[in-house]
Amino acid sequence: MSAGARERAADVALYVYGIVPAGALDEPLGAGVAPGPVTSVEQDRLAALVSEVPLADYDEHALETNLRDPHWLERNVRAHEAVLESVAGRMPLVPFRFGTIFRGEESVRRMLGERADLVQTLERLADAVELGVKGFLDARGGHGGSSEAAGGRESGRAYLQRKQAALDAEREASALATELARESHERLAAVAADARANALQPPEASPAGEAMFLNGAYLVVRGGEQAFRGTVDGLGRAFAARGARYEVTGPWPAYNFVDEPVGP
Amino acid sequence: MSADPRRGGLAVSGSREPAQLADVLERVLDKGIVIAGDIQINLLDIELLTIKLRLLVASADKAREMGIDWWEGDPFLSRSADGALEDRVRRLERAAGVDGATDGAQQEVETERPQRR
Repeated sequence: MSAGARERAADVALYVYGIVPAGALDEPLGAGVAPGPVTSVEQDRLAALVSEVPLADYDEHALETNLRDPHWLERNVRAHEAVLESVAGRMPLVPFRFGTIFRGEESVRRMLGERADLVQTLERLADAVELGVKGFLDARGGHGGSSEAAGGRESGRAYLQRKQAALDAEREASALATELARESHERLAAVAADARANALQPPEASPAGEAMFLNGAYLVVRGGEQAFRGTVDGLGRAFAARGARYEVTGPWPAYNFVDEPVGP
Repeated sequence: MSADPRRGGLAVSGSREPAQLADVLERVLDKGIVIAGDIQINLLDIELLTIKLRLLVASADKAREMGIDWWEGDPFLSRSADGALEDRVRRLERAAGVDGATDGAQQEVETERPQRR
């Protein structure tokens, strides 16, 4: 349902979630970051997934305030993701970063016209999904580091020895994490069409507070998902004794595989 | 979250647990294609927020279970924060030579509140 030439009120803008091939969306999607339906605006071979958003929430000034409200941010970031998830896998999709807003359909069409290169990106992503793999290191895997002095008083020498042992354990754990990260990422990249190693999330972001050693994103071709998960399981078995644990997330829209430089 | 009832029947990702906030933030705010729209979002704001939010994610989930507004008292995030973020951004912008600041007088004032926890 394209809104066609219908005039938009001056107080709304169009929020763009992503781009799909023209004609791919045959019916509107449910609500996204605003109550209205998600529809498409098409130009040549591309279609932008859009919904109307009130400028009261999405002009520069409002955004500056809203972005600092964690409730607002989480709700809308999750809504953005939900819209993309609802089409991912059904059609090729180029996901946009949060907060891409246009004044009206004309601007969206102009953008689509200028980014005809995205037709190739859609083709590249047509038969692939993004899977995330997070690797965690059990702190006790590197046998323990420091424990508190075992009751009673401790001699200066014992204290220093304990501190030294803790330092050694820390260095060991860090070397182990580096090695596991490289080994895991290489093996996973070998069974993926493309791969990215992202910045690690802090331990606070994991429910169990574990230390992350791998935060990878992998572009996996359709049908290859099972084999990819098998490789992750294999890594888990191979490195469990060293305290490693893996977690697969997704399938995601291919967020990590769309931001290529444009032009020649 | 793939289980949005408003979108009944359209989700194809199959049954899966709701994604962890950190994983969603990382993708939706940091990745995805960047195309300049008509309304500019301050990406620096977003980057600072993402870092801060990631740190808070675990405690956020716990706090929510207990019904606590987890950002309360965090001057960086609180909506009523008296300009701490703007000041920080302006300082960073000046340091980076961007200087998008306009109101010179306020910039020099440290407005960060002490954490109350």
